[in-house]
Amino acid sequence: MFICLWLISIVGYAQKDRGYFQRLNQQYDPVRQEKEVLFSNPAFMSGYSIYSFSDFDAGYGQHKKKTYLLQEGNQSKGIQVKGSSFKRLKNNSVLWGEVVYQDKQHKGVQWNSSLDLDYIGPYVLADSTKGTNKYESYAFMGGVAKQVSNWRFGAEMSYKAQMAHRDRDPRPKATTSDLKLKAGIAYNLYKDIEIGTFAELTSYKQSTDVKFFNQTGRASLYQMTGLGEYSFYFSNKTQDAHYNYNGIHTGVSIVSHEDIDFGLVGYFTHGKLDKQVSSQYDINRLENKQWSIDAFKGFTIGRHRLLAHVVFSFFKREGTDILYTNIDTNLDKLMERKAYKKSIDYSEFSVMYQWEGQRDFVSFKPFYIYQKEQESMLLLDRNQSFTYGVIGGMGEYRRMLSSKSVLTLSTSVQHRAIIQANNQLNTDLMKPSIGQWLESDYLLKSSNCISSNLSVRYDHQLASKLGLYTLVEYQQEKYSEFPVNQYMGVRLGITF
Amino acid sequence: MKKRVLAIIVAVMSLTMTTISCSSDDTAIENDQQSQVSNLRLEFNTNKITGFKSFEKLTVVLVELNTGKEILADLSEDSTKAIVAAKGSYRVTIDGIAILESGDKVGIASNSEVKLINAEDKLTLSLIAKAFANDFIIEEVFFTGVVSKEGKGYNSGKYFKITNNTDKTLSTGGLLILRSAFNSAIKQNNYTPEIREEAMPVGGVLYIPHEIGKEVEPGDFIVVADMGLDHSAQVSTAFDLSGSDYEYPNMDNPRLGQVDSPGVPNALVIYSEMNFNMFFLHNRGFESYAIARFPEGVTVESWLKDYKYDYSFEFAANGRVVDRTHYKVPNQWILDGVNSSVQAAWEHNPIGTSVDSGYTGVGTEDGDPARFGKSIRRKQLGVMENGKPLYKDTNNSTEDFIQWGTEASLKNGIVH
Amino acid sequence: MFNTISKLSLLTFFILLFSVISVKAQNKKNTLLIIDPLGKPISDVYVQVISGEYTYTDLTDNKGSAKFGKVENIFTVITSHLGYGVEQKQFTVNNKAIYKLELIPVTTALQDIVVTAKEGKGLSSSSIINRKAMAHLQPSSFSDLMELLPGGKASEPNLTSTNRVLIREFGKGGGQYNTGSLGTQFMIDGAILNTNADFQVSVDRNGPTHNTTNIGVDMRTIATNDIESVEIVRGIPSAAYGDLTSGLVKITRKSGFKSLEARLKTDGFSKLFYLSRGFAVSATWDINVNVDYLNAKSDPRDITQLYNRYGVSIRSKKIYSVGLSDLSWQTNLDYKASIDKNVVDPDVGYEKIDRYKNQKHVFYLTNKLEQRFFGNSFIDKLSLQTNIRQAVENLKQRKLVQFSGPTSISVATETGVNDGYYPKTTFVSNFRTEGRPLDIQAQLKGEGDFTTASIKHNIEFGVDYRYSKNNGKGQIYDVAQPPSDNMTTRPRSFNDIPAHQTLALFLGDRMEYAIQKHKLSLYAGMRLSKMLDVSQEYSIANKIYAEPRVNLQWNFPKVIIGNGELISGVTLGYGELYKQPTLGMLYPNLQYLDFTQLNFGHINPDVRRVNYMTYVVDITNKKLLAAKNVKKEIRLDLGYKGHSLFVTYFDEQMPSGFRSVSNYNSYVYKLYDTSGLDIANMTAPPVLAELPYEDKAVLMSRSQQNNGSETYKRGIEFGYYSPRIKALQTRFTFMGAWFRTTYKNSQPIQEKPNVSLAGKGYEYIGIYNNDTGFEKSGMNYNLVVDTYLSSIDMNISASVQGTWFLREYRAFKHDAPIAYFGLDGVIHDYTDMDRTDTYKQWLIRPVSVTDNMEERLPFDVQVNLKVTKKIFKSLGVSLFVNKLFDYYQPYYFNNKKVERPSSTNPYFGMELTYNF
Repeated sequence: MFICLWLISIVGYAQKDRGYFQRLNQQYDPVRQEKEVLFSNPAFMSGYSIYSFSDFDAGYGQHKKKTYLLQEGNQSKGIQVKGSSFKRLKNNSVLWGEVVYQDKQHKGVQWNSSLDLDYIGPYVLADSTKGTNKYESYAFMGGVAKQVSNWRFGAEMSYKAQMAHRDRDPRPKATTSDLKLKAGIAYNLYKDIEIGTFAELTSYKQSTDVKFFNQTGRASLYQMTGLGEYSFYFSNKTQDAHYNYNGIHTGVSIVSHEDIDFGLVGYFTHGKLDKQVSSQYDINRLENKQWSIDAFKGFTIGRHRLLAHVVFSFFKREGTDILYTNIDTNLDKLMERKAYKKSIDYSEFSVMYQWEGQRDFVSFKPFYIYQKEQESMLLLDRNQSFTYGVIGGMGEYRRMLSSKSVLTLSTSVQHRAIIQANNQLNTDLMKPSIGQWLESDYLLKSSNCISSNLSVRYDHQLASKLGLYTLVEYQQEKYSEFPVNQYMGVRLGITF
Repeated sequence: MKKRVLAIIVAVMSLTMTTISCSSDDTAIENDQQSQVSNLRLEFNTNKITGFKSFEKLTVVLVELNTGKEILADLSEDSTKAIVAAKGSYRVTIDGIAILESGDKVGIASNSEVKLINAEDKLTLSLIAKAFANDFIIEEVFFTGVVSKEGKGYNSGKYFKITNNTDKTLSTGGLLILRSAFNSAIKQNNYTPEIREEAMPVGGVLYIPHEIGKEVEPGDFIVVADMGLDHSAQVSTAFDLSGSDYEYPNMDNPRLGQVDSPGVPNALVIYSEMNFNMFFLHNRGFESYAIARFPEGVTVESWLKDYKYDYSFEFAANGRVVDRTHYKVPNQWILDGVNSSVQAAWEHNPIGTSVDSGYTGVGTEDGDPARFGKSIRRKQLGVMENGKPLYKDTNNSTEDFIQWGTEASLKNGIVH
Repeated sequence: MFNTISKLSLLTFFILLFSVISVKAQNKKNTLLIIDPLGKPISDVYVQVISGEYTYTDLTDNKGSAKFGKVENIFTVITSHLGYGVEQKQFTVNNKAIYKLELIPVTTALQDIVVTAKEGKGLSSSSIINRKAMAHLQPSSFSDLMELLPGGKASEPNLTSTNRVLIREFGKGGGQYNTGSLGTQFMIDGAILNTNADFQVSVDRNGPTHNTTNIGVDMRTIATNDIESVEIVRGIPSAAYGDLTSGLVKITRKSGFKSLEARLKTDGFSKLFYLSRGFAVSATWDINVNVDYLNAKSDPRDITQLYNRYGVSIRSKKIYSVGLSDLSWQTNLDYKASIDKNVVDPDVGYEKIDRYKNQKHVFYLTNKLEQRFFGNSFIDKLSLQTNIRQAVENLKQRKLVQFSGPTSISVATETGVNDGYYPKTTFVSNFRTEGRPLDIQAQLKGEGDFTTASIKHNIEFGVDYRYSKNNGKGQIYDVAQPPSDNMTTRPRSFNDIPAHQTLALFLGDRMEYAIQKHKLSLYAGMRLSKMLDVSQEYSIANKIYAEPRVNLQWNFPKVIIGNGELISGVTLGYGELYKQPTLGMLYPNLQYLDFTQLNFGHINPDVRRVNYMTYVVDITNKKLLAAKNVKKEIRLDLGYKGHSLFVTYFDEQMPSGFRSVSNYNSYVYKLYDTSGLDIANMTAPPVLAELPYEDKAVLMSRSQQNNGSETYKRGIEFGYYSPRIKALQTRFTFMGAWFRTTYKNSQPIQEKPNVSLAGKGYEYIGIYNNDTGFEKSGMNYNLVVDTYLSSIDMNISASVQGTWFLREYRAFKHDAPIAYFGLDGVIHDYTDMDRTDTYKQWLIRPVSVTDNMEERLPFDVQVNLKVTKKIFKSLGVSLFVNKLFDYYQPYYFNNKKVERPSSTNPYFGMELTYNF
């Protein structure tokens, strides 16, 4: 009996009547979404849910930004087709998978001919012209998990390929490929307390090259090295950039669901990126380190459920410049020196309240975030730092209109207040256009911001296993004394 | 047993909690500014300057390869003074004036490179005396061509402007105009043999036979055009070169269909690396030009027989060796030379330091759209007694030429 | 032998919706329930009930039930479904009027799911690629299938330039070695794609070219979506196939009943869309219709080069049974368009005037009548195949021409002195090439069998007539406004070029003889072919080519080892094959050489005069012969409990491949001296007679086709297929090949150094032993691990492929010529004394120390991933990533380490398929 009780669900509550309303609550359970970090260990997926469910939808979204970071552009619109499914098989094993295709346009992108700035940090191939990027991305993910008596095993593979290009001069074309392989195990230690560990290897590649079609003249490209600096030699001699990132992300977690209902997850990420130009010269190296701790404690009183969640994480990134010489050889390495540093302190405190009735489902989560971000060039006295405090709340209300149709409203509001922001960029020493870019980004990052989001979803059951849903979403960001940014999206899909 | 394991786990978790909180304020040692700087001491070997006594003027220019930063230093008083520069790979250009035992003064120059990677670095440079031939000099070379109203490139109407910067009349008979074989933006790996300090590898040579030589007064100039006719009749933005002194139309390649203007005598292409005597100027100016004269006893035939230059270089990327054959003209025969390139693309100088220790060019970027209609022109130093312009010639075109190109002087026709 | 072709019938069909409605009056009281082995009802099964004169048709609903009316006591039910194949069962009437039928799914037979090419076990070595392999490969055009051949590797599709076919050879071919791809023949449903009348060359030599003349079939124009199976004969085809040297590609397209199929593919470069439907109009008559569209760019940023391919095909097959035999009549009507378009890029910086549009609209009509006799008469089968292919090819170009200076051109069309003329220096030139190639093929083929003294003879004999003629207006442009200032041709029309006709007779006998458990089969065939009505000046006019083809296969008796049988067999083959020269080689365009005698560009236009001496050179090589290839091969086949292995050694020698060789002649003209004229006050243009002149001579080259290219191909092809291992549901296929290909010129070549000395053109031509021939040898490998998870109908395959080693070695290039000649054309030996002569020293070609050095590339590997999955009923998603991971081992050359960085450009894409 003990084993089968424990077997029922890692999320912690058995469900007797499986009406359409209850299935949706189960499929989109906010508490499980809050414990997402736990399922980064694929072994725990075998307890993700006792029901199989999949959905397949196509959507269109448009994001108009009046105030924006120049590298992100002022407008992005496009379609997304997404299918995801979780399937419980007979022999205590589960399969899950996801396929996503995106076809988008990013307008007004400047100083950025590359993709994935979170990976490549400051080492962007940039030019001063404003352009429209046509963007396509193909992604699929598949995983399998199995439970054998007290042990759980799980493995997952995910691959994402992206391509972005411009068709007016200067014309970059960036292609990326991101392969992640993950494996995890978990062991049931005592009653329903489990410890688990997992490791994920990431191999990411990106290559960007720029073409010109105007036969008489061309704009200049910059191989940036952080806060407005760029490599003089390679900016004039090369029109391409190739990035290779290899990283490992491991974690240890201790979790109990039934009686004590608490969880503690600690993970450590370490990755190295190197940047090559004209596919043979390494000119920059980047090293990221991140430590993070998640702790959550759950309380269930009758139909009411509470979940307290605390996150502490520290991210550190160091960049190295590699200098070359062409004295008596073609081009050879001369020396390396550390030149760039960035660190982010992040902590989050939140409490989620959830109540499920026969025809109503309510969840509400207030949260507080404290973040300190510092960026500096080591050789020149040039730096900037920001400290934020974010207070906000998210809520969701699902109502069963009839046995066949369900309405879901979800909303969130948050206010980001600047506790401290200062910089020393001495942009007068730079090229004027680069200076204006840094100052305009600093102005945005150092101003308060109120952002709010509202989405309405209507589900209708067509057949025993088949449901149709439409979702409309509106989002708004208001930076102090700046015009408003707006996002509008619509999605049509089926659950089966 | 399970309880004990549980306890250990909790202990480990709390340990990671503490390490996280304390490591946030990074105490890693800052790269102190001091270790990124180097002190450079120069030593000058003056055995090539006979009767050297002391320096009257000695300026040093250091240009770092990766950051493009420039450092100027004046060692006129104390040539052993250390120069402080950030570590990196530097090109060193020396320009100055030396005082000889005999009291005369002579221009000196030297080009070299140095890697500054330690706190203290040293570099020995051998100084070369600048040779001035007291003969014609190159005042202007127009190689970019023009762009027509419709926006298409018009690649003709290019010319050399050669001036008598001396105080005596000179004859143009026997003058040679040389085009360099090497491209200033492509530096190959170890040229063998490397002859540039003794002779100039040439890719094309124009020759003005003595029969059509003419006398040129001090301060006056001659124009050698590709086709001496009124190009503005073809393309409105081109120039009227019908008053040129010499032209080199190509009559051998039937398909080029170029026109020989009857009134303008033709210079002879005595060597070209291209078929059909074709002599074209690179429209972004990535080559060097020089003028020279054959010494006594050397004729066109004997030069063609004895001055072939066979050399090889290596592709660094895949180790392939490439053999090439051109001709060479000894530096002593050269009257004046100018290296041309673009700052962003420059890799090396196709002519030896004694002829031109610097380089000039049109436009700051490779493929600069604004370069058309501009040329490289020498700075005017002052005026001769007869009122004609006197041009600056220190065999260092970085100083002698108006940097990064100006409007072509023959824009509105040839006016003497 | 009862006719096993199924009899299906459908009463009415909608053109647009392609849906099926079954209408049968009478009262519906009987129901048929169709279930699968697990008892689950199967929907969409096409059911036909026949009893006496009643026939009913219906489609099962999602409860698996179909209705039909009154029947006699015994009736037969025929069912057809994609996943369950075609079944037939007899029932006797029961009073409950409910009948159950269980169908076994075709796909449960896991063993025969093959996603790679299967090696043919027949007499000549061939690769067979079926529908499932193509669906899993997710190709954009036929060129992607070449990866599945032994030695093949995946490569990014290049859909904006000609894709030439290469079989059993390394290197890219091209240049002087095109006979390999020209000599590979493509047949679609029996109709050959004849390229002998292809003249589609642009007038502007240095403009964009998508040239296929003398290169053979452009594989990107062949779509793969409607192909049922492909057999690529790499070895020696039977005598029924001719006018080819390297290989034969036989494509068979889908036929018979097929419910609606659709495929939508997108990757970084192209979008592809396909829709098809197969109708059974009556019991013995099927019609298949399909539409196919591909749009591709070479680089998404480059909007200047676009390629569009449209295809519509209607194919009908009707079978008449006449007494003891039946007659099948197959008609295919195809329309294919392939359009390359170059648009001027908005950023190019000058007015948008240049245009390039290369359209090829092709109409095919194929008819195949096949009479089969079932009695025991000698004749088994008589087939008459006629194909008509008419292509409408228009290459339209417009170009802003701005001469680089005041320019004069000659417009003469005969040899002699003529006055040229000064065009404007800037004008818009319109020019086009209009080709109308018409190809007709008729083949009568008979097959019969008889046995003499326990040897069974299968005779094939027949006649094969091929006619191809280009009736287009040819190359057209306004001579006064040519596309470039160095035109060496004049406008020329194609329709006065005679037709290319070949007639071939073939006879072949496949003898089978079995003693004890040994089984021997020997094929001996002879093909005689001749070109018809070629004028007698050509040496090919009355050349009859005999092409013997011999294949011997010896299957050894089965040997019991452990609990399995070892099957083994050896196959030997020898064949001579000829490729006739194309029309472009036999009737090349005339070459016009204009030499400027006087170019008096006076300021005053009416005093101006330009005078040329023009030579019109006929570069036809009347002694051109067919290219001959001698193929030898030996193959060992082994099979043991589902594992199968083949190893083939082949040796192909083609000494007489086509090559265009340039040889030099000296041309004389006068150079007038105008220095004596009184320029200022001239009123009339100078008179030639009065001017002093100097006789000039210059050496100019002209290129002529000849049989001077030698391609020598040797190699070992091998392949191992494992059975689909039950536990992992995985099959391992390891395919690879070691090729050694030597490309050489078999006749000395003439070269002139690119230098000008002392104001004169260079006056000597060197004769050198070797052009840039080279020898490439190396081994490619491809391990495909494919897993089929039937529970979720998903097929994942990973292919680990690459080059094990590659050695490229330039044929030893001497720097000195063996001989030389000057303007007088007299040939002298090249002595050491000449090495120091002022001018002759330039005949020494720059050959560096590394030119003759062998380059050894070591190991490289690339991993490709492909997934196809049904997500909802017959809606499927598939995706692929090539170069998910790749590694190139660095190598040493000229004792320098050469790094080969891994490419960071994966090629990826996705597909949405319905019932595909």
